[in-house]
Amino acid sequence: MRKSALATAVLFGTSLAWLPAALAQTPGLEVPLSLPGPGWKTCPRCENQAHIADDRKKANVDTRQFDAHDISGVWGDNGIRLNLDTLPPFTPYGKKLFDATKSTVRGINSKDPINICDPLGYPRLFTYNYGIEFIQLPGRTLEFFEYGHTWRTIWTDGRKLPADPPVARYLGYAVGKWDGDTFIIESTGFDERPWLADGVGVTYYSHKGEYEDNHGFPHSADMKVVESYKRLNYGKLQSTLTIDDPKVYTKPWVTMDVATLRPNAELSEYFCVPSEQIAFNSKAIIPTTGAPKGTTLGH
Amino acid sequence: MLRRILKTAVAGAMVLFAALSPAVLAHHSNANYDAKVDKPLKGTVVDYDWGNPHVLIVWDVTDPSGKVVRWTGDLASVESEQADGLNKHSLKPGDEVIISVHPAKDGSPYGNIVQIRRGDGTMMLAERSQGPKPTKQ
Repeated sequence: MRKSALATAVLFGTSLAWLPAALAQTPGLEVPLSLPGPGWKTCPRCENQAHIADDRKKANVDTRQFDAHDISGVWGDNGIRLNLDTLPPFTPYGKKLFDATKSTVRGINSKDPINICDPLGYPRLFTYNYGIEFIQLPGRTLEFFEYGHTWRTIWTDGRKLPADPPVARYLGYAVGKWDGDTFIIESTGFDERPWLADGVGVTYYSHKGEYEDNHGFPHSADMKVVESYKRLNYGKLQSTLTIDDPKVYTKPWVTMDVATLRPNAELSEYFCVPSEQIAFNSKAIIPTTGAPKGTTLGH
Repeated sequence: MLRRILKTAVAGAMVLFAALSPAVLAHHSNANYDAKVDKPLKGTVVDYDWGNPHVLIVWDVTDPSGKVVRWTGDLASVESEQADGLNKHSLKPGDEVIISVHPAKDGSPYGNIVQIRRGDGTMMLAERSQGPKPTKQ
């Protein structure tokens, strides 16, 4: 018994001595952070997972005091991704739109608007992002996006959504309000050209386990989007995205997930530059698709 | 008793490392590349295109018959590649490299880069933090 206790004590002591060394060798922390200079922070995607975990630990994100009505800050890239398990059945019209998005080449969706840097629109700017930042001001909350280096205004001054918007917008018209500790955003008036998607093409694992990228998810100009954000703690933002488009989907499409705060990151700029993208398509994408020479993407 | 303690310690260490290992995020399809194959290709850098949407490396590889084949390798955005430890100075034309790729399924000289070593074997990029492996939803 005494021997066992001694062995336990020795092993415990040894493991304590070993732990800091093991943490120091956490894979990824040996990569130097990419910083423009003293006082600057890294961009959300410029950190690997080990850096992110380290930053969050140093900032005590799980135990730090927070104001439930303050959602400001930089939240992680790919905030939430569309939940394909909750994808509702299409209406006949929706199925027709979905079928029309089918790719003409293999391995990438030739018709994805992102291939030629057309605006991602909302909510794709959220479900595929390089980091976002909420900034709360009197009468409005601004949602900045690193991808496209653009922003969305969520009006909180009490105005109502337009019943018949004069112009369809890529990011729609958005109003917000607090319901208890949850910030609710309602938006409408969307341009119907953007897709509902994550990255390039709608790349995902289907239920069959296959990697699918042949189609994009459409929406109509009548789409309504409701978002809710609730700060679970200083570092976690419960996010719910409800896409309600009865013309295309037979019931609302709900995605829920948690976005994480990135305490040591600040937004950089990611512009999708058409000339660069088209050159990249011809140099590195089209040659791998088996498509004839001269094939273009994005249509 | 000692064996049980050791087992617990090993299991604990495994859990710790699993929790700390970098997650992999994909943001585009790699369906045209064969993810089951890691093909090391020793050659000379022709072009290092440090730009978006993705960083590209072009390098010449001499095949066993003596023929020079020009390969094009795809990485991720400059943002993601900074997370992997690359920067605008990492490579230049003329550098000797050994680049491992998931090669194009159709046999064409294109690949999704998974690892980069310098010609002397020094590791430059051991593992991508974002891609090329997709994440299951």
